[in-house]
Order: sequence, then C-alpha cells, then structure tokens
Amino acid sequence: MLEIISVGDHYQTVDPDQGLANLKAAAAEVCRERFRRIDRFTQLALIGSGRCVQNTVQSTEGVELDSQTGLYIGSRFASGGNTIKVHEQMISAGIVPKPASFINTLSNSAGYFVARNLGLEGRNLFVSRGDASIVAALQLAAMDMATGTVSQALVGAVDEAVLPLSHHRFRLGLKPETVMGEGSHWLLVAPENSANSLATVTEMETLRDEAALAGWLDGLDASREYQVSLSPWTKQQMASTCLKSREMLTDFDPGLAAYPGYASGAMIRYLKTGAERPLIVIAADTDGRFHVVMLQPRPQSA
Amino acid sequence: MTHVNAPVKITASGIVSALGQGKRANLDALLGDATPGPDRLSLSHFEEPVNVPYHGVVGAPEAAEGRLHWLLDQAMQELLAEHSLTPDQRADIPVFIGSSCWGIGIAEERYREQYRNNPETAIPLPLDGFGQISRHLQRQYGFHGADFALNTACTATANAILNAAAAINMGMHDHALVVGLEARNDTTLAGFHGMQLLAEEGMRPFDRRRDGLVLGEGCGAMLLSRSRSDASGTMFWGGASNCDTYSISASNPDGSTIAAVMDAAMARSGITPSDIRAIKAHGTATPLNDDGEAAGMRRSFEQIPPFFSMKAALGHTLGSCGVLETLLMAALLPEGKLPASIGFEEPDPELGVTPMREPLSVEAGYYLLNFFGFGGNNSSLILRYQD
Repeated sequence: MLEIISVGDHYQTVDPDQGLANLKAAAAEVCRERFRRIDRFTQLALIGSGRCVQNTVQSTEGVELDSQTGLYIGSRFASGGNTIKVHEQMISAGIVPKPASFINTLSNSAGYFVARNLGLEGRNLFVSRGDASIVAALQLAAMDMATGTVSQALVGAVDEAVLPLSHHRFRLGLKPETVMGEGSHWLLVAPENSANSLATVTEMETLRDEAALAGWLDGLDASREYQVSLSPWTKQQMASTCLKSREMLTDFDPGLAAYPGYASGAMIRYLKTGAERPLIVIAADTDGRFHVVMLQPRPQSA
Repeated sequence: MTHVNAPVKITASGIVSALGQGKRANLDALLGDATPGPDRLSLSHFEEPVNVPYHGVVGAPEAAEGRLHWLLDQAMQELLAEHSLTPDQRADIPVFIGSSCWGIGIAEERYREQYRNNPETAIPLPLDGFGQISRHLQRQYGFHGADFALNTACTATANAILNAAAAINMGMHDHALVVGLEARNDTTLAGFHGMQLLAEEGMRPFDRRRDGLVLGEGCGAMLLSRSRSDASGTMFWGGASNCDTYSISASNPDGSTIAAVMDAAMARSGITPSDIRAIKAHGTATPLNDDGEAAGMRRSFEQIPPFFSMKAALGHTLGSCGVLETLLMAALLPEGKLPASIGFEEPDPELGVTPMREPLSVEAGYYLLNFFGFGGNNSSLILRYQD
C-alpha cells in the first residue's frame, strides 16, 4: 500500500479549432532554469511534476523534496508528437533525425529534465502500459519502496495530444468525434501509514480478463459503497457487464476528455471533491486485461 | 554491511544475438579466438547516403513485425526449454521488459507503406509500440501478468532486473520474467548516425583509438526465482540505479555519479570493493562513456579489479544490453573463464585503466556489471557465483 502525500497536475481539453495550447509560460513558472530544445512531452512533465512539488513544499511548510526521491513516469506514447515529426521527416523527405529530435524520442528524456529541475538523483524510470501506465508506475514505486530502494516517489502520468486529432483517435482506438484532452498528473507517494496522507492506494491489480475482474469485485466488502471511474477506451470498447450488475458501485465522472492519462486525472479530481468513499479506477487494455487501482481517501481536518 | 534484499536465482535464460542462437553459440563465440566484426548496412530511404556498421542477427526475417517476434521466440523457446513453467505460473508472474526500439520498426514500415499508397491519408506512428512485446508474450506463451515496458535507454533491462528482483523480494511472486529486445530499425540507426556516435571500423572499448560504438540487435530472456542465499551457481545478488543530471547524453566525466551507483550497488549487496572479482564494464567505446566509467572505477576501487567489455562482439544492443550481457555473464561464470576485453589493443594513458588483455579464470565470489544510458540513467548489478 502507498500513501498519497501530495498531488499536482496540468490538464486541458483540446479545442480542435484552436489547436494545442502553448505551454512555454506554464513551464517557465515551475522551472529553475530555461531548458532549450525540449519537446511538448517534456514540457508537460515539467509542469505537472513542478506543480506537485510546489504543493508539497506548501503543505510541508517549506520542506524540499529529498534528492533520493524516486521518479516514475508512465505514458502510453511518451514523446509521440516529436516521434511523429521525426517519422514524417524520415519517411516523406528522407531526412536523418536531428540529434536533439532523436534524443527527445527517447522516452526517458523527460525524466532527465524533471530530475534536473527538481534536483533528483535517485531512481528514475519510464514505464508504459497503454491507458494503465499510471498503474504500472505506481506498482514499480511500490516495489522500490517495499525493498527500501526509495523512501518516497514522485509518480506521474504524462500524455500529450497530437494533431490532427483524427489520427490521434485512431492511434488510441477511440471513436471519431471523441473529445480529446491531454494531461500531466502527478502524485507524491510514501510508504503506508506516512504522515500527511491524502489517500491510501489500497489495491493495484492486473486482472487477466473480465471474469477475473468480476472475481476481484466479488472480494470487495459488499456492505460499502464505491465510486468507479473507467478510462475512455474502456467505456467505449468494453461491455464491462460485471460493473453494471453491482449496486454498490456508482460512476464517478471526473469531467475529463479522452486521453491515456485519464485514470490518473480521475484520481486527482476525486481527491479534490473531498469524497470519503473508496474510488476504483479501471483501465482495460487491448489484450482483454483490466488494470485496477483503488484509493481510500483519508478524512481531512478542516 | 548488510545485504538489503534476498538474492534471486537465474533459473533459466535464452538468447539470440549477432553471435548466434542460444547460449552455447554465444559463449563459444565470446570465448573463441576471434569474434566476427560488424557487417555494413545501407539504409536506402534517406536522401543522404547512410551506410553504417551493424551487428545484425543472421536468419532473422526482414519484415519488422516478423523480426521482432522471431527474435523474441528464439530467446523464449530456449528459456522455456530449460524451465517450462505451468500455464498458471505463466498467467500470473510479472513480466519486466526493456527495449529501446519496442515497435518502432513496425510503425516505420506501416507508415512507409501507407505513405507510398496515399500520402494524404497516411498516419505516422499508427500503433502503440510499447505493447508489442508484451502482446506476443501473452498471445504466444500465456504470460498475462502485470507487464512493465521499461524504457530508460541503455539501462532499461538492468532496471528491469532490479524491479524483477524487487517483485520477488516483496513476497508476492516466486518468479519474474525479464525480457530485453532490440531489433533493427531506421529511426535508431539513422539517429545514432546523425549524432556521429558510430565507429567506422568496429568498437574499441577503453582503447586509445576508440571512436564510437556499433549498434547490434538481439533478444535475451531471464527467469528469476526466489532462492536460498546459500544456493550454488550464479545468483543475482543486488544492485542500484541513479540519475546523473550532468548531461542528457553523457555521465559526469569526473566519474562521481558512476562511482556512486557502483558504491550503492555494493553497499546494498552487503559487500565491499575488495570483494569484487571482476567487472563487466558498460564499455561503449565512445570517448565520453569510457572516460566517465574509467574515472568512476578509479574513485570506487583502490585496486581496480580486472574488467572487460562485451560490446565489440555483440554490438551495443541499447535497451536490451542489460539482460543480454547479464545472462551471458551468468553463463560464462560456470564455464570457468571470462573473455578478454574484445576490441582492445592499445592502452589510453588518459584513462589510467586497462581492460583485460587475456581471458580471466573465474573464482567464486562477486562480479559487478555496469550499464549507463542517455538521460543520465546509471545502473550497476552484482552477481554472485559459487560452485
């Protein structure tokens, strides 16, 4: 189990007429130095992680993040926008990737800049698992915490939108006209029973199929009520009949558009509602598995 | 010093590389009198001539998806022949995958084909590349457990091994599968070509004339299992990783962060520098990497143990080198001999260190393996070998 100590993020719905919002000013607000030649994915990572740490410093009255805090970034496509540009240039014009563009195709480039910005020197991982990348990142952080490799972890889900949106919907397997978003959602987590907890992550499971999901739901305390958030792809593509038949489950709508980081955005928005019931976040993958996180908010003093 | 976590056993493994299919072929090539040099590869899709040295796998299919699956199948079939696992075990155990390419070659190929047919409707990056390896492991072999597609450049599978051991140490699993895969693709080859990091005539790690690396492809798979600490054979004993924010493309040349990760790996393994019998260096033959690694070794060791690099034989297999080189090291130790540092001829007085010129007889004890990558990611692993 993990305790969520602090959260921070950046989210926006993509307006197809306006295009993607410029992130330079938001990035500058959280960066200690001016990073050159960084791409949109890295900008998003810097903004979300920077805000999470600013919130942490405020809530701890100025205590800085320990330099050995582990850093875990989850994303479905990592720097998709930059990789797409590299491929367009390679394939349509036969151009060899420029060094900066090539380095930005590496998924852990963003982790380098986040670590540099926040003064982190410890474990620094990038992991992907489709729309459940935040689940994979939390699971890695929990392993490293359980074995004493890190004492706390900054865990983020970062997913950028890429224009044109019709192409991006195709990549994500979403229906035409689905409203799209992008986000960078971060949680500072610590071992079980740590002080200042906003919520406890009580479950992080990968379930083989819908029958396994039903079995897992059967194991919940049926006398309690739970709220459930399904990722957009899960909502659109899966029957998920086992959810509809259980009265103890009610839907939580975080008011987010569709993007792979939706699950992490839902967690943060749920914590901001002040709700006390557990939240179950479910992201299905394209191989028929379900990835589940359950949060139990801690009652907050006034 | 205290050993932080319980050791895990390398129960089974499989490999395909430019040196051949299977551990036996790879070991024979590494310990033989002469290892083959790289081939040349011409990338025909670029406006400028791109002709690069490459350690490709002989016999692999040309098409990207078939090549990815074939490489994976070679390694997995050898592993499963050694330890098959029951269907229930396969369905449950966590799978830690490291790669630099993932499905990028498949994405290139599909986009190129679409673009050839109709540039107006072609969709670049038309698939989720990170899921390709896990999907094949699920569909072909029934590994349906939690999968972790780690991408930290050249430390991806070293980090995968660290987390696989952690998963076992948490007590939730008796086994964990680690897979590293690197398959030929234009993005990587052209990217390294554009960065001018490729050597023209083969790699010379720690040699005065070193002038860059040669890329390679391959796949390695390791099954790690809970074990008693007094078990014989080769065990994964511990390790550490850190992040060096000196530069995105090179470690601090003063060796401080490389020394720090080696020191942390030894400390977490409950051993001291004098316990290390030999080092498998990262040894990419790029001036900056070898400078930083040599400086790190000078900081961490009063007397630097014998060390060598495998990359002149295998090529630099990027995200998969952690598992490829670790499983080969684990297999070399029972052979009783570690190879001389391939590609090395002329010492570099500036480095102040000299790799092994001759094979080294293996003794029981601890062996250190280094892996460093773009993005400031450094990892060191410790193996223990006893008869």
